Amino acid sequence: MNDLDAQSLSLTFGNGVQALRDVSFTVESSEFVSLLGPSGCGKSTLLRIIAGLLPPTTGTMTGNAAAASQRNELSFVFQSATLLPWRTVAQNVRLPLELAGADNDASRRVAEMVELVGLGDFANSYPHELSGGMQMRASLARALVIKPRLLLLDEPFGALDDITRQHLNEELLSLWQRDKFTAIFVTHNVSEAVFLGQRVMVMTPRPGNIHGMFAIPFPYPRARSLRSSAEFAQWNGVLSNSIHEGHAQVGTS
Amino acid sequence: MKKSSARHVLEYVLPPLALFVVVLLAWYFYASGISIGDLVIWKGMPKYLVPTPSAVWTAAVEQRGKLAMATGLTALGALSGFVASLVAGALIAFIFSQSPMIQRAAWPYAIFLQTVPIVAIAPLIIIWFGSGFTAIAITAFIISLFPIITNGTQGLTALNPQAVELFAIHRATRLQKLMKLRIPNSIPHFVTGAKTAGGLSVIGGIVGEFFAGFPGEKFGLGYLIYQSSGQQKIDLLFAAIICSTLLGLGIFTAVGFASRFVLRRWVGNEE
Repeated sequence: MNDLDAQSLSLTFGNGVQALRDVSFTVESSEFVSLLGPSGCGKSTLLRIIAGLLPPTTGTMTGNAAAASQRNELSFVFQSATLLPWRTVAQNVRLPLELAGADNDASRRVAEMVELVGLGDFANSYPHELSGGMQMRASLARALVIKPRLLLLDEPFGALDDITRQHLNEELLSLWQRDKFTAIFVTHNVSEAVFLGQRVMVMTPRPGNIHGMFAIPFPYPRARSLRSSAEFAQWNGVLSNSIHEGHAQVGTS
Repeated sequence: MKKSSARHVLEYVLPPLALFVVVLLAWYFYASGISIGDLVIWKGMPKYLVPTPSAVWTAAVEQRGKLAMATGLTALGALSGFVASLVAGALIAFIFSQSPMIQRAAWPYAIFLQTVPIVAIAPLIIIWFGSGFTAIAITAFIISLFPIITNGTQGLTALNPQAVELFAIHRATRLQKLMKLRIPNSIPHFVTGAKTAGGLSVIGGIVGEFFAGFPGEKFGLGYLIYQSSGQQKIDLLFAAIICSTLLGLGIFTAVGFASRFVLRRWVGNEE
């Protein structure tokens, strides 16, 4: 059974704007899927439907990871780090465990996660004392501390500089290979989508729809050097074309 | 980040002190006149209009018991009103945050607190509660309450939407959301409200007293100002005004220090 099986998801907002129309896809267990599309194509909205934060107007979500939130198996990484400014890094990472009723093991897991994202020396620092990249690492640690089955990421590295973004891409992949969660990663950055995903779903706007699905053949672990290979550049081209095609079809450019 | 104390004195203490001396000198010459030899450049002001700084000082020393008592009573009244407004304001803000319905129903009346001129209801308060401590405390309470309610309500309800989603995804209970998100989020807002309210409470206290139409055994600065202006004791009036200002400054500074202490952890909150 697939982890996620979305059938004909549509969402129309109260003001009559159709955000998504007839979106269907499947995600296998432990798969890493990039969800690529231009701003405003409904990819964040789709992610929120998967998270159970928004109910779809029509359509269904089934599969092992559907409604994962209700079993405390879902984590979400937001566009901004969304750390609580009055909590230290360790206290922020601990939050999901506290909300679930922290057990005796919580402190050890928090310390382990903080160490794993390279913030061992900053466990007792407050968010405002950290750089943007470090804040995002803390945010990742907080998401992974509950050992989620499904991790949803909504353009988490969009606000970071390119070098930091590339580092975090590599770290995210090694965390995924370690924990084998199912990941859906929303981005509007083509090379980020290619570097991360086993598959890339290309979305087009007005209303949001899946225009193409591409299996990216590069094996894991994917090294930094992949980015400078000719095949990587080719895939970037293929996906860019797909996005532009989708745009042309809906009559915008 | 920490500067050496010598440099701190040079940058932050010396300039206002220098200005103080300049103002004092200007006041002195304005009141007493300026002459070089027989040449009178400025003949000064009559004593009953503008007393010299030294006259004010003398009056302050002579009447120090009365001034201290008045300042103390006003301070106590203003602070009691202020503290009461913190407690009541926090409670009202909490109720507003829990029920948008109650908030909508009561909001116009909360605004009433802000719009009603305190001088207009002060006489009523004197009639109901008598002059002195109670009147000071109640007017201070009324005038301080509004900023606490508005800032507090905002702090409890204006949450980062992504933080709200985070709590929803991890299935936080209503109580968890209150304790771990709403209340911590509201602290800086309450502190902002308290800073405004602290300064207002002194004004409220003095205005409340101002309308105490009869002298009692004990009275605050408002009554002392009223009385000394009636008796044309201009030097004592000046001394009382200065005491009021210092009291306001004192409370404002105290709240400022308290807020810095409370907000140490919230420094990065402007995201």
